[in-house]
Amino acid sequence: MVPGGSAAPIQSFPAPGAASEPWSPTVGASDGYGSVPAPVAPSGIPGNLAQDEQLDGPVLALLTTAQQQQGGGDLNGAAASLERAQRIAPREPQVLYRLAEVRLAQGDAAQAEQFARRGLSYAAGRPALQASLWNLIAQARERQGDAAGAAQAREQARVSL
Amino acid sequence: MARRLFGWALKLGLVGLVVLAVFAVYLDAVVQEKFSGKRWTVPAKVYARPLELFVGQKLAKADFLQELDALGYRRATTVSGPGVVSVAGNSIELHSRGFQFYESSEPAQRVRVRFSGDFVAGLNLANGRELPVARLEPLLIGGLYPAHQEDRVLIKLDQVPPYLVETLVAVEDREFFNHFGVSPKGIARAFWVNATSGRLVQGGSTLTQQLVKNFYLTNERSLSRKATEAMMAVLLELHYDKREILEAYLNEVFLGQDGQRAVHGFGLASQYFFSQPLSELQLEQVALLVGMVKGPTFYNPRRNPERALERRNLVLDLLVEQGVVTAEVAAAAKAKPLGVTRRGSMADSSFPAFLDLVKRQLREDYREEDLTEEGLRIFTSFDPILQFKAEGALADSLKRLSGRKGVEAVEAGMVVTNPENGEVQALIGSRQPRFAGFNRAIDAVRPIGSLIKPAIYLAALERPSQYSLTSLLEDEPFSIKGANGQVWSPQNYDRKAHGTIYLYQGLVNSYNLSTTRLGMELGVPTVLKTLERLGVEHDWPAYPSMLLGAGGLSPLQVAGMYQTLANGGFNTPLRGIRNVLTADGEPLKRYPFQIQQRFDSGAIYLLQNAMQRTMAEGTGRSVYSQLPRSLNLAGKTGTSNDSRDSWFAGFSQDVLAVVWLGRDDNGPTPLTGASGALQVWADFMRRADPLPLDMPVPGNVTQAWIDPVDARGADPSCPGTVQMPYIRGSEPLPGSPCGLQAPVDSVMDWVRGWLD
Repeated sequence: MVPGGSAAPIQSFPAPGAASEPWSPTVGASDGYGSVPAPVAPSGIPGNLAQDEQLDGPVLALLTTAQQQQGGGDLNGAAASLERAQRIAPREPQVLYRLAEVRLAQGDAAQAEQFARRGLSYAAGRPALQASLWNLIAQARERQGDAAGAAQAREQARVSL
Repeated sequence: MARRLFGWALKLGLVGLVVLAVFAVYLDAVVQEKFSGKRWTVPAKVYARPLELFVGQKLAKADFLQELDALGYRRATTVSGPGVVSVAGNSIELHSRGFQFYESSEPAQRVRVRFSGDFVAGLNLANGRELPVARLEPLLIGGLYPAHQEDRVLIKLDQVPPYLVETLVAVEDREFFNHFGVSPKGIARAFWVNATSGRLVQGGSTLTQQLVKNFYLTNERSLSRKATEAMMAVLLELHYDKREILEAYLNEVFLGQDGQRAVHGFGLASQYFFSQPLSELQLEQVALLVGMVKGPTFYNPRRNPERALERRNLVLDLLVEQGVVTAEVAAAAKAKPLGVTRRGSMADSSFPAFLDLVKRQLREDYREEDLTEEGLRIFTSFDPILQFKAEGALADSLKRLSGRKGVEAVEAGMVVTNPENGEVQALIGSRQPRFAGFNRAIDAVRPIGSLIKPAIYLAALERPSQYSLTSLLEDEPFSIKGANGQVWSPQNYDRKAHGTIYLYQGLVNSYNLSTTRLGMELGVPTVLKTLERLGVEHDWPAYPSMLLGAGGLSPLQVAGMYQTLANGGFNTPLRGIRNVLTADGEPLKRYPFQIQQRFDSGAIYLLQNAMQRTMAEGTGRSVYSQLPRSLNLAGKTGTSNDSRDSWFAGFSQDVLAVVWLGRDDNGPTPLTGASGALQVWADFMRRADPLPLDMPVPGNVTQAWIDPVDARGADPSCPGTVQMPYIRGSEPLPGSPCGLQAPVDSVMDWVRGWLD
């Protein structure tokens, strides 16, 4: 089946994602920061953000602030600081991960799952972070009473690593 | 006889005294009641987003300086305190003012910002220490005024700049610190000065009397009112000390009229005329404001600059006369310009369309009196830099289009959002964006034409077992008989049929025949359901004509729909407000960022690919006469019947914009989506200098090499093969390698292309 004469042949199209090599999570030019994906185990454990993965200046500073606010019980302040970080680095999955964590702490499991899923879409090539995100999804699903979904997410977390 | 008369007089006098005493007690109650309670209600204040600074931030130096100007930063060679900036090439040093935000408080600090190209390359404190991130204070963009339209920024006496109190006392009431509310000496002097100079230089009322007049009494001019005023002034002085009275005066005094809004107090006047906090005002600015007390309209420095300048200099002379400043200091001050902000500048512009959006949201969540009286601080996502670019793009594009007959009657609506979080950054409700009125960005609900088409193609691409970007569609005429017997026969814009085409070509070239066929295959209800999932609430009937965008949406609704397309299939309700603080800086409410995945990211990826082709080779291609080819953008034109509506909606990685052009009376225009709205959009994008669209490839998407002629799988070694994304499993089988002769062919192709 060949298109009729009037159909133009497909043009080669330089879509950015169309490169033949797999997409790498280098944000570099597009976000203007942090270009080194370092797949070291991330975790939700407070206080060791810097070792998790290389994050630089503004995002690290705001994640640290959010951590302190959360530690002091100011979840709204923490969420607002994380949204500020998200505006600066919209595609940094660690920011989305932390936003999901705070939403979970605020009792909004549905939003926690959504933010973790958004984080996953930017976490290609970072298996440890993917596993953490899936684990967070599992927690969020448990809170929503979705045991089967939680189990699925845990399985995803396991195969990510 | 005389004794009897005297006795009567005495009795009458006693009665009079009693009456007077009762009156005084009553007045005393009035004076204390109002002065001890909450003296003023303060309207809610609406702020723009604070400008964030960090290394790597995309920010043009010129835009940065424009924002600093709007914030009233004074340019100087050395940075001597808050609100001062010094510019040396690409290095800018400033002393920020500090601000209480919802998340945290930003300190006032000396910051060095180094620019390289359109990026921030360095951010340090004055001591050299690197600063990860800093915020400027946000631009005040409006307020929510009560019916009487009084506005003020409350200040404390310890926040006033040097010379303010001295100047005020020197000009308005020299005996203020010595009198008891009224000043016979002051009246005598005023009389003498006015008589000898032949003009009204001084009024006889003390500051206390003036305060009483404004605070408690009407504008009626009579002797009895004058007497009441004097009594109340004395009573006020009995109960309160000079500092309290002075502070009240500084906050109460009327200093100007801004349209409907009355500008009260030195705090607001300083913002209104200089865009600066009162504490930063210099001698000449203080002299101007104090001089204006006498006649705020007569001496309005924007309307009557010469008169205002003369009055200011007169005040400065008076200060020398009274020994407040030396002649040299006054002379230096007199040499300065008036320094009021320019009308139409970022600092002195109103943004009625965006404020309207904010007010609608606030009125859902707060009572009217809370908004107009409690001094709430509303923090929004409004970006004045993008707003100015949008306004400039609209004005210039309409000017360029003005050769076409009928463009003068065309109105406009425009929405700019951040696709990555759904925040509204700029809004235009009229081709004259300064005028409040019909807010077309929110209220003009108009047929969206082909803007609907991405919803149809998305519905198809969500079914990878049935459709891919290279599925074949028939672009041939057809008719449908509706339930009411009416026959509907869609037509292409060029009135031609295009035969068998690839699915993506139907969207890229906005062919109506193939698109409506596809829509009918999917079913109109499916398409309308897809539209709802994209975030559009509508009550459209499931008629086939809906497939060509007969249904109406506002530009803001369209932005909501495209937001989901731009953000990987995650829907985000658009927001204009981030959070709210009380007058004391306590957190009150947050409008959190919320997302919900509505579509498979793979389907969205394929759709974005087709929408990028629309820009690269389809109906949106004229965008690249204004923009570099390397800037990946996705978008869609829309034109309703007889060009009544000219639409364009599209996005980069970090900016989404929707433009609508059309007539309020719904008459035909000379503009299609491409020749009208797209031109405004492209001009705006050129100014906004966005990041190229770059959606990560989802895990379920694979890039396949295909033969461009028949879309069969091909091998990359073959000449002319192209890549096309497919949902994994729906891609064609790979082709076989083209062998050794292939490179020769491609060299020959290259030579041929070169000879052409």
